[in-house]
Amino acid sequence: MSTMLQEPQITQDHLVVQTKDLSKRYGKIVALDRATFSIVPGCTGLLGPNGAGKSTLIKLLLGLLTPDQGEATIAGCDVRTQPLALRKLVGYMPEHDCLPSDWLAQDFVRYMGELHGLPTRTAIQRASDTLYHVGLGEERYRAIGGFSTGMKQRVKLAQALVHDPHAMLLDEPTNGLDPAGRDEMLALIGRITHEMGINVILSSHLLIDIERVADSVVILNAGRILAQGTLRDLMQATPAVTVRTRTSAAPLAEALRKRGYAVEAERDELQVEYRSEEVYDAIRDAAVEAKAAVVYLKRRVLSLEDIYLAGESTPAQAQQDGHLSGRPEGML
Amino acid sequence: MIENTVTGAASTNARIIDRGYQHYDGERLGLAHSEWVMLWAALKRGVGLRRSFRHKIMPWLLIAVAFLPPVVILGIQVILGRVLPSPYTRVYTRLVFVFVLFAGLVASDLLCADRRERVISLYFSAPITRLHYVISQVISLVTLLLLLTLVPYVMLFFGQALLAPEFGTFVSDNLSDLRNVLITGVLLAFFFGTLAMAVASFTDRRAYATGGFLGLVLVSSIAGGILSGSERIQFNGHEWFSLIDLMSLPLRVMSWLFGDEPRALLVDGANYLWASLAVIVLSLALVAWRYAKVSD
Repeated sequence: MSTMLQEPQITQDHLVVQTKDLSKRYGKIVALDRATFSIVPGCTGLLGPNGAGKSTLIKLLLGLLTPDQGEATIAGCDVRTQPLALRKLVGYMPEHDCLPSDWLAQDFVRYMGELHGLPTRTAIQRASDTLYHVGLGEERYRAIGGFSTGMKQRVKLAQALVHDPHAMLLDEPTNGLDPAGRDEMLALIGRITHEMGINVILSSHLLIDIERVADSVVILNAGRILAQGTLRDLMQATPAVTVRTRTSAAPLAEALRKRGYAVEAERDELQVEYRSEEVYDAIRDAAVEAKAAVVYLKRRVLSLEDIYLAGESTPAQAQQDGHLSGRPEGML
Repeated sequence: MIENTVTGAASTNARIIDRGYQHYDGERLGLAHSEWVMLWAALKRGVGLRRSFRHKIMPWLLIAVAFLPPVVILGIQVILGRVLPSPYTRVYTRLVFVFVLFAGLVASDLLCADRRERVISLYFSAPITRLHYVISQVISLVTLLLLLTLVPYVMLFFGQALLAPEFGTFVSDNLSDLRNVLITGVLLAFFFGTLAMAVASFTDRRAYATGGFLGLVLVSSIAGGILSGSERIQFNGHEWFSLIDLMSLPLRVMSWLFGDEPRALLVDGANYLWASLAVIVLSLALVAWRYAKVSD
C-alpha cells in the first residue's frame, strides 16, 4: 500500500531520484515490488526494517543491479542505460566493512577520487580537504587497518564525498557506532546536506536517525513503498486533533459526534477527526454544550513509527506474496 | 565599519583561505583515466610500494634473482673479454620457478585482498565495469612479470652487443635471438600471469591462492613428466601428455623457437605454442566469468 501524502512542489528536472514500478526478484523472493517514488533535493531517509529492500534499492540506483521491471533515474541518469555516467555523479557508502586495511587513508580516498574521474593533482588536494572535513585531518597518513570503527566510517564517508557528488547514497552509516560516534556521524551528514548542499539518501532502520537529519522519507517494508513525502508533511498530515479535558471526556465526545465528527475517547482524552480548521470551532461549541473544561487541544503529530505502523502490510500476507521477511521489530 | 579597521596596502593583500571542503566544477576524466589509475595502483601494490616493508621483500627479492644471471653472464664476458654463446634457454629453464613464484604471490595479492575486505563493492560503485577492473589487474601482473621474464634478457642481449667488436653486426647477426627472447618473455609473462589470476579468482584467501597455483603447476608438471616421459609407462600417444605439464609448456615453446634443445620437444613445437595460447585464453575467460559472478 503506497501512501502519497503530498506531491513536492518541484519540477521533474530537479528530482534527485525518480522511479516507476521498479522491481527486483532474487529467484522466488521479491526484494523490491513495483516501487514508484520521487526523491527531492535535500536529505532523504530510506527507512525500513532489515530485509525491507533498502540495499537492493541502493544497488539498483547505482546501476549495480539490473531491475527486472520498471525504470529509475538518479541525478538525471537512467540506471539501465547510463550506469557509468551516473556513478560519476553519485557517492556510495556501503553498510559493511569495505576498506583496504593496508592502505593509508589519504591514498585510498585520493584513489577513489581518481576512479571517479578527478585528475590526480585535484584528487590529492581534495582527499586531504575531505579527510579534514570528516575529522581525520591528523590521521590521514595512517593505515586504515589501525582505525577504530568510527574512524573507518568517516573514511567511508570521505571516499563517497571526495569527488563532489550530486547525490550520496549512505547505507546504514551509523552501523556499529557508539552513541557519541552516531551523534557525530549524523551531525556530519546534516552538514553535508544543509551546508554543502549535497543531496543525501540515507538508508537506515533507525527511526531516530532519520528523524534527526532527513527532510523527506521513503518508507519500505517487504519490498514495497509504504509511505513517502517530506518529514514535516508526513508527521503533521494527521487527520486528528487531541483534546484533553479536566474530567471525563465522554460528554464532549458525544457532543462532537452529534456534530458529525468521528471521535475516539479514552478517559480524559479525545482524538477528534480533522477535516478542516473548522474542527476547532466545533470543539469550542461542543465543550460549551457539554460543560467540559478543556485543558488543551492540539493537532496530533505522528512519529515516523506511527506512520510506519499505519502503513505496514501484515507480515503473513507479505510472506504469502513471496516477499522477504519484513521484521518490523528490527526497526528501532 | 569593518573597512575602517583595515587600511593601506595590507587591506588589498588580505585574503581568507578556506581549507575546508569545496565544490568541484572542473574536468571529470573518462574511463581511460580510471583504467590507468587502477593499473598504476596495482603495479605499485604488486611490488609493495606505499606498503609496509614485509610486502616489499618477496617481490623485490624475486626481481633481483631474475636479474642476477644476466648480470653475472655479462660480468663474466667482461672479464673474459669475449661474447659467450647464446645462454637464453639455459637461464630461462633454471629461473622458471622464480617466475612461477612471483606470479603466484602477486596475483593473490592483487585479487584476494580486494574481495576478502570487500573493497570491490566500492570499486564497482565507481564509473568502471567489472571487466575494466579485471583487465587492469591482469595487465599489471603481466607487466610486472615482464620485468622478470623480458627486461633482464633484453638487457643481456644489448649488453652482449655492446661487448661485441661491432654493435651493429652483432645485432643484425643475432636478430633471431632478440625476436625469440621477446616472444619467450611475453609468452612466459602472459602464461603464468593469467594462470595465476585464474586460480586467485576462486578464493579470497591469499595463502590458498598462492598455494593452489604452485600446487597446480607442480602437480601438472610431475603428472605430465611421468605420463609423457617414463620409460616404464609407454603407451600410444604418451608424448602428448607433455602438453599438460604447465611448468614446462612455455619453456618447450622457447626450445622450439631457439631450436637448441630438440630433446625437450616430444611433439611438434607448434603444438606447445597452441596449448600455451589455449591456457592463456581459458585463464582469462575463467577470471572474467568469476568476476561476472562474484558478489559485491
